[in-house]
Amino acid sequence: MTPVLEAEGLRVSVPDRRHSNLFGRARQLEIVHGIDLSIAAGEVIGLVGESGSGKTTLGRALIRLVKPSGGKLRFEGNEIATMSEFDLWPLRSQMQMIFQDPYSSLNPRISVGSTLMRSFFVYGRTSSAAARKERTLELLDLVGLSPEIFSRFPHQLSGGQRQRIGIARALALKPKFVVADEIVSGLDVSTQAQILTLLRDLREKLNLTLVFISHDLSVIRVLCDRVVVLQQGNMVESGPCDRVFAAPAAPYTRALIDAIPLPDVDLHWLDEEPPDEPSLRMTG
Amino acid sequence: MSDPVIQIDNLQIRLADGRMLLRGVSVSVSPGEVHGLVGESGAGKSMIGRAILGSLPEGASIYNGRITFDGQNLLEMNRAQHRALMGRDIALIPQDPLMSLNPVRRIRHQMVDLMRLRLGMERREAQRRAIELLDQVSIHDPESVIDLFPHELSGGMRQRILIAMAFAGKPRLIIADEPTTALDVTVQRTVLQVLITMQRQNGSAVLFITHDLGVVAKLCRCVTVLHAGRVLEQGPTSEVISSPVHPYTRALLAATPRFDRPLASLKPIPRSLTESLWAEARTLDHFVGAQS
Amino acid sequence: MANITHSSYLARLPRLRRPAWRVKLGNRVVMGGAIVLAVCGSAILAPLLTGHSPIEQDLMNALMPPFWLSGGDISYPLGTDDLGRDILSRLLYGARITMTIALLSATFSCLIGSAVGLTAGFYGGVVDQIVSRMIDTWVAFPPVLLAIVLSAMLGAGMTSIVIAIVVVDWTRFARIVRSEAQVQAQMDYVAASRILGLGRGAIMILEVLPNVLPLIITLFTVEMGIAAVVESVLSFAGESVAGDYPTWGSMIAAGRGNIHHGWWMLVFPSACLILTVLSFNLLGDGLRRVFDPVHR
Repeated sequence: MTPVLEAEGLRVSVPDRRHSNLFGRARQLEIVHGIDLSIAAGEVIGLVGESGSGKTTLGRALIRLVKPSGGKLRFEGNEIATMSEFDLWPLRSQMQMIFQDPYSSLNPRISVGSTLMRSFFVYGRTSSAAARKERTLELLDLVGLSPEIFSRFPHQLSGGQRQRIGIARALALKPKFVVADEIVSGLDVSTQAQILTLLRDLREKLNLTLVFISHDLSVIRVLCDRVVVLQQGNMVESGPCDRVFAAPAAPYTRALIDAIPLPDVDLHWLDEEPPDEPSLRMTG
Repeated sequence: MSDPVIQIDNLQIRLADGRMLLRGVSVSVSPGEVHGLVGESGAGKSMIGRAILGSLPEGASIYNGRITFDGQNLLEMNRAQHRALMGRDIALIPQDPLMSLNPVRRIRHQMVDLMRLRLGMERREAQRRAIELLDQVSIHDPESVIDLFPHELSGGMRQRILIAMAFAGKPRLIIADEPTTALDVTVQRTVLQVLITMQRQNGSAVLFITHDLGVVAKLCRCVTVLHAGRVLEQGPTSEVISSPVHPYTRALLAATPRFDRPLASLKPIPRSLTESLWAEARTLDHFVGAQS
Repeated sequence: MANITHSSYLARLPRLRRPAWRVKLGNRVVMGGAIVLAVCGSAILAPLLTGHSPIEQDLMNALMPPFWLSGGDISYPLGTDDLGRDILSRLLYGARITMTIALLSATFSCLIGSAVGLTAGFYGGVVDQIVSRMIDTWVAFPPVLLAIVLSAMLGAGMTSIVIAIVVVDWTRFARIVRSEAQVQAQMDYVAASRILGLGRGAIMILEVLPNVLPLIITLFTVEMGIAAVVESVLSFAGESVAGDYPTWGSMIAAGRGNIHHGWWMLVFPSACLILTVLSFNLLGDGLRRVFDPVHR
């Protein structure tokens, strides 16, 4: 079975704003240094890393929001790493993203209903505005929102509700895979739990293929089948969640797991020395 | 049993439009105790810290209650008396170091000025003490670091500098307002270790405000659980976290994802619970005489 | 009892009643808007508000003071100038010139500058480079001088004044709109539209423009004030609408020479100009505040 998405030696660079010449052309700074990845249909794969790990940049490269600077990227067998915007266009509906910040991912001046209807602007191929509205209301129902949300504006909604809209938008075109970029990071514990259970339900219902980016290993664990650990743009470890969490091979993974404070009372936890790893770059 | 360092009694804070932010919160912190104030956003936990520091936001005011520190009611002090305490006996470790440090001044100047103003130190003495403090918070090569600008440092280093500045006056009470929320998890651990070390050295009490139950479980001897401006449960962490009594605390723990447990065990907090809690809080407002 | 949180006293004061629309719009918009409307209204209704013709000379009644001073007459409420022309009617008809020029200049500067700025800021790249360099050079010219030269070249008349102002002021819109467009282009909802397949042009109009529009509207009102001043400067320098037709700037110019025996010739047109510009700025500032809390 062809994997839905395959990356081989994928490299991504971004313009280095600190060094740009007179004409505004900036030098490229490589953020992601050669990643190999393979995602099968129906899988949920977690991308975990701390700040500076390149996980967000990688996520954007996987759906070609950003053009990779090197390596191969195959979507259902098609090589898309170097595809032009024009050729990519028909494929875009199949690769979607849910953004991190529910505040900046929804246009503040447009009602959320209209925002969702725009999903059907290009690829929807629906006959009428009424049909589009019908589908939008179905989407709202899918993510557990009441129809009256349709005419509200983002600033009138809570963070959890906005994030549900973001999920609805990503699922509107029934994509082959979705990248979720830190979508629960800014949320309360209870809202976070709601969103995670929603994703779990949606995954079962729609057989979603999901790339779940997070800095929180606990969140990754509860949702993902496999996990990829990134450090400074390099893949440090990858494998099934059960295995990686039970017996992490890389010292960095070990350090990440050890650093998580679980809600089990242990006032001596901080007294233990964390594993001393020179390669950890503990600039903290 | 010695007197508490700080005693908050029935604190009620009200907004200009009549809504209550805090509905009768009582907390007691013993000397040298690390006390966690835990709750979700909007629970009012930051308000408590701000009330102690006298920096309530625009439109919020004390409706009732008292805060006793050193036998005096902080809420009834005049500006001068209150200022004398701040930075010396009571200090703050704020959440976002990037916003709390002046971006155009070197660390050296910020620390030295703080100590000269608040603690009346001479410049030379303040410089020496600054280096000493940076060393205590495990910053390598403090002589070089002290001449850097905030943006030249990592998030964790900045937070450790803020910790150093807070402990400069050997305070008896530290208010730590979500100091590690914005940090990577490995960095968080280091910063918390530094905090505990300083706390033990100085014997200061810490009021640790956070939404993270895991941090509370590893750091705090006692904890107060807040919701809608009310205390729902309070007591030693070993009891409250390990065997919680209040349904909200239990629900909060059940909603916290754990890497040693599968998704099936994650339960969002039931809406009926939050709704009934809010309803309770609002009836309390009517009873007290404030509107909601 | 001096209280740290002394606002507790204020918290217990009863709240003053204000109508909802007034609270929503804010004082500045209401006041600024009211004055602007009053000026426009008097300009439009000028023939109804005064019996005198603004250009009718009556040397017998030259330099009459305003009616509340001795020697004044209620039929010439604000006095007359050195050629016996009624000041009030000159002000009212002059308002027509000022407001028309302000409106036209602001409209065209806004349209051209916003279009250029939006495109440059959103698309970036070569387009932005060219536009930015162009604006940088353009802005280096002293604006009023450029306006004077242009209107001297194009001849007197309302069209040339408007052109002169637009040619200079479009850059104001372009620069500000460009930087706001740049900010908006980085937003996640723009990226979201891209992956939904919308073309860049569509995104610019449908997503970015609604967010830049409040800024444009605010700038527009401020620009009206600026255009009014520029027009007055031009006519002060003798480079405005030809003939006898009164403009506030030319009234100020004439008033200069008559300060001692006809101070009203200078004071009233200056006051009108100041009041009008102030009200535009007030309106603009108020609008900015109205638009801001909506989404931030």
